[in-house]
Amino acid sequence: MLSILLVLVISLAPFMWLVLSTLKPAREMFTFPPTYLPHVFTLENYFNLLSKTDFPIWFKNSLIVSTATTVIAIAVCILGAYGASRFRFSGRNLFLFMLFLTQMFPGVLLVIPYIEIMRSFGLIDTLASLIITYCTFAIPLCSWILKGYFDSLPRDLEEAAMVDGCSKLGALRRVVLPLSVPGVAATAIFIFIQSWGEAMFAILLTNTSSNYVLAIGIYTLSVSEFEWSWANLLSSGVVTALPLVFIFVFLQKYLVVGLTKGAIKG
Amino acid sequence: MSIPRELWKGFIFLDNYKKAFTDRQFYQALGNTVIWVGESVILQFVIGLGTALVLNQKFRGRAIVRGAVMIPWATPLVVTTVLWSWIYHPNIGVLNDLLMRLGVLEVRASWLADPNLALHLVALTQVWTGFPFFAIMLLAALQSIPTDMYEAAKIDGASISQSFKNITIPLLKGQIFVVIMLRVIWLSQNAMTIFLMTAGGPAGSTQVLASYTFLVTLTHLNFGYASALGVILFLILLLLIYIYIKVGRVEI
Repeated sequence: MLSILLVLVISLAPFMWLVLSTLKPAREMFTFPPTYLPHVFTLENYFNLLSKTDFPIWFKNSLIVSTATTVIAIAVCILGAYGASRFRFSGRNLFLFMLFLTQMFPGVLLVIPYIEIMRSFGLIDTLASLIITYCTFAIPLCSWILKGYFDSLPRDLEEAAMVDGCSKLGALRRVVLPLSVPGVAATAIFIFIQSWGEAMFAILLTNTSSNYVLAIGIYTLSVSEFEWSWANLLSSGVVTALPLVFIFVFLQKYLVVGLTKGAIKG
Repeated sequence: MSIPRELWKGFIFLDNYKKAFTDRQFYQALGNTVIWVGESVILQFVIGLGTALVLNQKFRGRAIVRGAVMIPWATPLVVTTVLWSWIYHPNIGVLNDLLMRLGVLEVRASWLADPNLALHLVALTQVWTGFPFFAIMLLAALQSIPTDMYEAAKIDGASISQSFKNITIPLLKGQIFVVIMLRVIWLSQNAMTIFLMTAGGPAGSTQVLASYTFLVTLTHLNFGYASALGVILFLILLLLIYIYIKVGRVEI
């Protein structure tokens, strides 16, 4: 049907154009009218990217930051979300409201305090500052999502386990966690994706090229005045996007199930 | 802030806010924010709804199409802005080429340098990035409507558009509102799309409040003024959130 084709074109065509552009040699890239299919296929742009720029360092940094953020945030959130879901404690409502409100806070407003905090800790221009910063965003969001997810799991199994002599923590480990793999996996993927693409704080918190993450590297290339850096720019864009595209396209089933089960209310 | 005692000049109280209210660029950014967020959300909603309707039907390869639809959402924002700057490129961009082939344009246009057009083009980029979110959310909502209702309506002789108007829309109204408000709130605080594509230029025609705050922080280094702008933005957002909670009856 025509509408299916239209949807496919709208979604794919721009990205395809990006990929195709990077497969052309530089001189063909800059012709007008543009050649839609490359007349000459070449991978030279990618070779240049890997050998002549700091791109591999940026990739490594992004990997470190995103993975660390995901691991730390998930570890913290599982405990926090389980607690918020299963226990009633004084201040619980305030806690949940704060979780909700912190997600609505404009990131732009937080930038200045974060710079000051990182500066006073001597962490400006380190990957640690990025990891800490991203965790502060990931943890409320994940706690929110995971709490919703845990809420949707019936308590009978945990209670049965506790009747059999399991401690609360044990019940969490043996009963709830295996059941919540989809939700936890989806949340982990979500955090990873957010950290991978984050640019605002990274621009302000890092300033030497060896500490850049991919997002900043690309930004630096894009504001350079040289026309030829378009080749590096586009190819780095493709490589940066590919992990996320891969995750989204092939794992989206788990993502959507895991996220929407608890996230949307009302 | 850790200011040395010698430099401390004392509180200036509301001076930064007064500065904001006399700053022409502030009002320009405010107006642009309304235009940009409004355009983006409306278009994202329309295209997202259309996509959701398409995806709601059963056809072979539906999973592949659904995967493809996620690509604009999956692409990191830095990459998207680079991609669309490339498409909008005045000398070698695809947009110029396509429009010239269609006969709409005769000379290559400088899209992002045109103060009248730049904002709408950035909005278009934002629409491409954001419509998958609407598509997936609306698809989930559509799939929650039991098919019996449509069958009953068909038996009673309703046409497609009639059943859409009388079944789909009323049942989805709540969820549509929630999704739209969420998106409005997110977009209002999104500084990066604008910053990465045009940095607010040309002549402030693409500056929105969020990106203006960011610019003041990054380039003017006027942390005091930037903080004031950020607080104003936050107050606006609080208002939107209040509406979101009250009208959408969202449980916290």
